[in-house]
Amino acid sequence: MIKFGGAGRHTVAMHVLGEDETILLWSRMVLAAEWLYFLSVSLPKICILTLYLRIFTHEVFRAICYALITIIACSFFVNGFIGTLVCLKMTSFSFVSGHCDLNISLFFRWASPPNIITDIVMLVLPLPTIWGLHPPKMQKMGLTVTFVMGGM
Amino acid sequence: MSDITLPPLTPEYFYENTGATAIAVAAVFIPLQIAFVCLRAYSRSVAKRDVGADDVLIWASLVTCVALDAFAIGTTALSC
Repeated sequence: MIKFGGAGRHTVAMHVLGEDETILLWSRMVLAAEWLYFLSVSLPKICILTLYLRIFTHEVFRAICYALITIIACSFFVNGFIGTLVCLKMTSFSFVSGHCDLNISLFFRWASPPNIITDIVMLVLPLPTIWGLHPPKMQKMGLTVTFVMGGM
Repeated sequence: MSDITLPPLTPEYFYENTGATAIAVAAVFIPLQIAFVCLRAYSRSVAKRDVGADDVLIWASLVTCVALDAFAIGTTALSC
């Protein structure tokens, strides 16, 4: 019997079983953690980009890094404000009751692409620089593996 | 705004609970990310390089990520 969160179960099932209270509680907790979630997505990425900026000197490379930091910071603020301010009526976060002007599935669908695209660019970005260096072959492979590890 | 179509309400669907997976993923990642950040800090201290923005941001990132994992475990595990 779920008494607290109820994460991991279908909302429909919970609604039918008369656990609307739990859904409401879950919605409130998700709303509270919204900024935390977007922070933990953006902060590590900005951290990696500042590391790139310290290591690499190529002008174009650095410009792309700054652009990426800007995109990540913007999507952080936009997502945070949309996620927390547009739908203050908590019940609306689930479809059980209430009305909300925010289309939740659209929000979740379109909040992700900037993240995915910046991820891919960040993975590929250091590779040309590494391959342009002339360290021993093993070291070069090690560096490539190190930077591509971020993809996990 | 309700563009949600209901799936067939089979018993499997009705009683499906993916909570354990969520807890497992979060629980594995907490020690993993702490270990990696500590390894990084160690290698930086051996290399004796100047402290940069990334050295500070990595700890802030670690805090938010661990907090989010704890939240994920909390919303799921304090349940049964």
